[in-house]
Amino acid sequence: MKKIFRLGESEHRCSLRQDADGLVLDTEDGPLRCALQPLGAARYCVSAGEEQAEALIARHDDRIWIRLRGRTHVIEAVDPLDAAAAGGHDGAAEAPMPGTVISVLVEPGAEVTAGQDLVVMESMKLEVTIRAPHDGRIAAVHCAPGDQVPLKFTLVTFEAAP
Amino acid sequence: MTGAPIRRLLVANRGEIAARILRTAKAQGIECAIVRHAAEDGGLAPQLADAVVPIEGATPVAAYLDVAQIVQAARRWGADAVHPGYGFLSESPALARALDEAGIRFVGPPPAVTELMGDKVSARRFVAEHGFPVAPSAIEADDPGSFTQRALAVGLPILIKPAAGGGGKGMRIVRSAEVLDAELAAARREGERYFGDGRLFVERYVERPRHIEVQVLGDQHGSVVHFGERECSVQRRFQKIIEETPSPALDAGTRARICEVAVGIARAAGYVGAGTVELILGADGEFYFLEMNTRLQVEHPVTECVTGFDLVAEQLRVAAGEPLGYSQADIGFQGHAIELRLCAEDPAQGFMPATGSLQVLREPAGPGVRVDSGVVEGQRVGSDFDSLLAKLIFHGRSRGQALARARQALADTACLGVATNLDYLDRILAHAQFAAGDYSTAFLDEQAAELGDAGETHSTALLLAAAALSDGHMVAAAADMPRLYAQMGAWRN
Amino acid sequence: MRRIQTTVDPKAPAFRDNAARMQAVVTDFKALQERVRHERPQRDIERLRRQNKLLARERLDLLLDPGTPFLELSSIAAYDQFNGEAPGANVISGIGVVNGREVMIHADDSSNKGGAWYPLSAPKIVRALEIAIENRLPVVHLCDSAGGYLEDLSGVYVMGGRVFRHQCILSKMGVPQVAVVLGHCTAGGAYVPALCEHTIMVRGTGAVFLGGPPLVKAATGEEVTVEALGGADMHTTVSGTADYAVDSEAEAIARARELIGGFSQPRKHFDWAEAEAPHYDPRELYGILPVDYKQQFDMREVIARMVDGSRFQEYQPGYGVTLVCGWARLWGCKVGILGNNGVLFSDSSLKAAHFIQICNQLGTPMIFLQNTTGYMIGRQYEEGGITKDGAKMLMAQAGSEVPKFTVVTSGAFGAGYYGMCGRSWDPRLIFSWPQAKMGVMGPEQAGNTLADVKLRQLRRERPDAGDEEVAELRRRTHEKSERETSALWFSARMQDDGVLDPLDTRNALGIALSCAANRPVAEPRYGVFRM
Repeated sequence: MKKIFRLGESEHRCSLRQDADGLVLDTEDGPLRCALQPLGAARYCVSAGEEQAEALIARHDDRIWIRLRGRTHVIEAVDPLDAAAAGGHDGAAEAPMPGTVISVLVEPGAEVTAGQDLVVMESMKLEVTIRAPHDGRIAAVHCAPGDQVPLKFTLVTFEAAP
Repeated sequence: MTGAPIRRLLVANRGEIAARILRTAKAQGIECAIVRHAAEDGGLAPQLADAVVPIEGATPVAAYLDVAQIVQAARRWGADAVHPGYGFLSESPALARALDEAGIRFVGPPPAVTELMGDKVSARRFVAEHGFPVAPSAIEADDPGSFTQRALAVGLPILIKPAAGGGGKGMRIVRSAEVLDAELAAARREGERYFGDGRLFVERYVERPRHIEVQVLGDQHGSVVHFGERECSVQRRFQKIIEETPSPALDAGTRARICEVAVGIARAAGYVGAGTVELILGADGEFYFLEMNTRLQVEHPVTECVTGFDLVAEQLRVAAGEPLGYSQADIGFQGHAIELRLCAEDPAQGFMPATGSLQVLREPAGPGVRVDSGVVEGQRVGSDFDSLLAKLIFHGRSRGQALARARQALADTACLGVATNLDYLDRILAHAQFAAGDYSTAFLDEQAAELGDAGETHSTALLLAAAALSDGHMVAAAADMPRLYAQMGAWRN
Repeated sequence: MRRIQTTVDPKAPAFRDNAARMQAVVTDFKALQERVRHERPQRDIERLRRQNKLLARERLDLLLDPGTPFLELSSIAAYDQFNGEAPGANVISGIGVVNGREVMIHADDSSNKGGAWYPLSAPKIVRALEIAIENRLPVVHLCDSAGGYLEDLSGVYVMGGRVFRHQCILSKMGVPQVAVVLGHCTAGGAYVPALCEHTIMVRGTGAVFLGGPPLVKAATGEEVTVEALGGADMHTTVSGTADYAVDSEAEAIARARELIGGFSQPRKHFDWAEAEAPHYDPRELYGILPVDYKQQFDMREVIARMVDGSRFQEYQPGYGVTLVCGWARLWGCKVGILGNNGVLFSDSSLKAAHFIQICNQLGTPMIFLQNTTGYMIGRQYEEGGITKDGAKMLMAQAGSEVPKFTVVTSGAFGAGYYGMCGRSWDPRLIFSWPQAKMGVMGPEQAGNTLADVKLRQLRRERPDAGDEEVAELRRRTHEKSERETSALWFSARMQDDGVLDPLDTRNALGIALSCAANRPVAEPRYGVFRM
């Protein structure tokens, strides 16, 4: 099974296999013998190649939270198919945080320029204006004032560039 | 007001501050209740309370802001006092009055003082009239027609504030005249939404200012003392994330003057209870009155660490009508304390509030470590409330010791399942400027690049291994292959 | 099982000489394979890049599970034919792992002549499907072919149809197939995706139609675009010929991987244990193998460098000694091995017939390691019934139901090739080593016999032919004979499943056994043995 792990800005294509000696993670930098031993209460002993460390690990859906050596890391596991499918979009404005839509400043069909205000959102103490990521014509508005929207919710979509 | 002791206390708040208040009150033998909206995951506080009184509202926040409901909850449960914590209705004269009418004590100052200090404009005027320093300003209500002109006359840069504001909401810095109108409009919108009041005022924005505040306490018998200052200049979006006391910026003389000014303002206002006078300190050592918070402050624990006083206990004593029973000279200061606010927010995404669930929570412990937490492992973190999860407070004989304890404690802390500023806090502590105590409210913006995580090296191999091997599907799929293929590896003929 | 005791001395001059010569042969073969796989006209590669297409082997890399093997079949098919226009017969076939499932892959290689099917292309695909049928392997078709080779359509026609027939048989058996349409599937080619259970098409580049736009225009005058006639969106929304339309090759292959991950994992038959590497270094095979097929070597030394732990339980070690028989494990799978240690006599033939029957009784797969000049000839042997004993061996072969695998290690001549399960005797897979020689007779015998016939012809036609001319004729005849008895010649004509570096043989057989284990073994039933 192949997966793409997003770690910050970088993407790592990985797959896992089992041989007689245990698990091998094939990464873009070559194979990595690895093991994960549960120590109870979210603690694990993780080893990869020559490295070994104790870590706290929590998973939620496709997000893996790892506390390792005094730092917190969030890894997003992406199915290659989802990644490929996601490439097909023609740009959209997404909610940068979960919260409430305060106002919608555009209508479908409107021509907007990059940076133009589209939607105003609020999430406790913070008002955020979502701006057009690029020039284009609005295809659809997927939210209305008062809507509660989750993180990365597609607020506004654009028509495909000619 | 009666002088009878408080026996049944309703905490009209949630999160870490509710837990904090409950701990002190219960230790004094007071029976405690807490309010809770059905839709929220209350975390720690409801577990500590003797009773939970449900409150209702379209949103949880609306319920906490509903004066009538809070009063009814107090009455229904038979409370003889209500502690409002901070935020919500803590600075609401309406709540204080309604409780008074119901014969229930409000743990806070009298409504007249709250009213005076709650309106920025009247507070500034009051402070200036009594001869205390305020920054040059322009007040919209004085003459709305000439407001823009007068705002510019204050001299750029200026800071726009809602007249009824607080907590950093609706504040905007304006550095060029062209954007003034747009920013005024935005600030007005926010003021209307958050405070139901669109009136604004502007004041001179002090570049690279330090934010200093003084903890004051007054009793019902006319005594007012201070508990020293707190340095709160480490801020993002006008909201504090690190506070410490004493301030590294003050020499003994300035400290004395500032504290004297704060006590003077509180005394002039007839202040009763715990309050905080906030001031702006310029690079030149000059300071101006900023505002007075008529409530317990989020960062009060650092003051408790260095003075040994329990400020909540003092609040309850004052509310019960007891005299302070000590003078300014009885308040000593021991060592240095630093507070870090652990928030559910993503520093890499402009400190956007984050949601999730606290799947793993490890709080630090050790000598000089205090954790004021309101959350428990497994708790859901939504976007309904403030992003503050817990406060990590560190006390040491010196600033260096407190800082060292803080860094060690952060390494022992973990919070997985929701984005937090934990690592960001550690990078601030590690920053040379912070270590030297040389920072202003602009610090986080100026050092944004250095405080990002780009420069940090990660153990990528270990992280990928952890990610892959904790993925049940991947592990199952790895095993679900004729073994020989895995053993052969990437052989090609 | 006891470990084979080696008598090989890696310091001996003969060993070193063999090793050097064998290394050279293998190096030459790998260089040839490299050229067949990757040497393409630059303009073809540029064309594919322009079309946003990946090279066939890049597609394979995306499809296969990383860190897992791929056994390519008939890698040098057609390399010396069709003016070199169809390297590998413009098709890649092989067995690999996709999302944990072992599958047969057929990938059209459009980097040459648009992936047109040459006369050996269909046989290569047919053979791949045959292997899939025999081993119950799901098939992935990566379709991207310009269609039949126009210069020789008759050579493509009959075998082309068998591709579709085999597809139907697989489906009937309940073995699923996935087609990924990455280019045009025109005319007969259109049936490949249509006959698959799952079909994915790439928008823009993938198309499926019985007749392309030019043919439609010529036939009916209708003008229609490729997309409208047989594009991904049309077939997935209107005709229902395909199931999924995707925007890129990467997405198409990811989708195929996902589908294959949903196939059930077959139960494995045979006797499997934990695999163990050979005790002796397999690289010593080079020193053991004489490049000259006429030099004898002990097949036990080869077995010792191929099987688990170099352990071998020999059957009848003292009888019929020119045929070594016994049991071993290979990648954990228990196998019966028959290896030639010389010419086949009556006793060795009887030993073989008996051993084959035991393996069938036990349900143990068999591996034949060929190195024989055939059955012994001469009056004494004919009187002893060498022919009827050889016939018993063949009868046992034909009645056998366990999977058989064959490796031509050195020489394979005469009926010995049949008795030792040559291609004509349906081994599940048959491989040759690059220095191996095979044929009705040895190259020298064959050369001499042919030269004699030709010389008689020459003398009849031109009695005055000089010595030089005669010598030249002999030389040319011998060259031809050498060439046409080589493993490369046979493999290029699809007479085996590929030439293997001896060091790759253990893995190839391991994969072959794993695949064969997907099917239970039927009860053997034999014909009449001439006693």
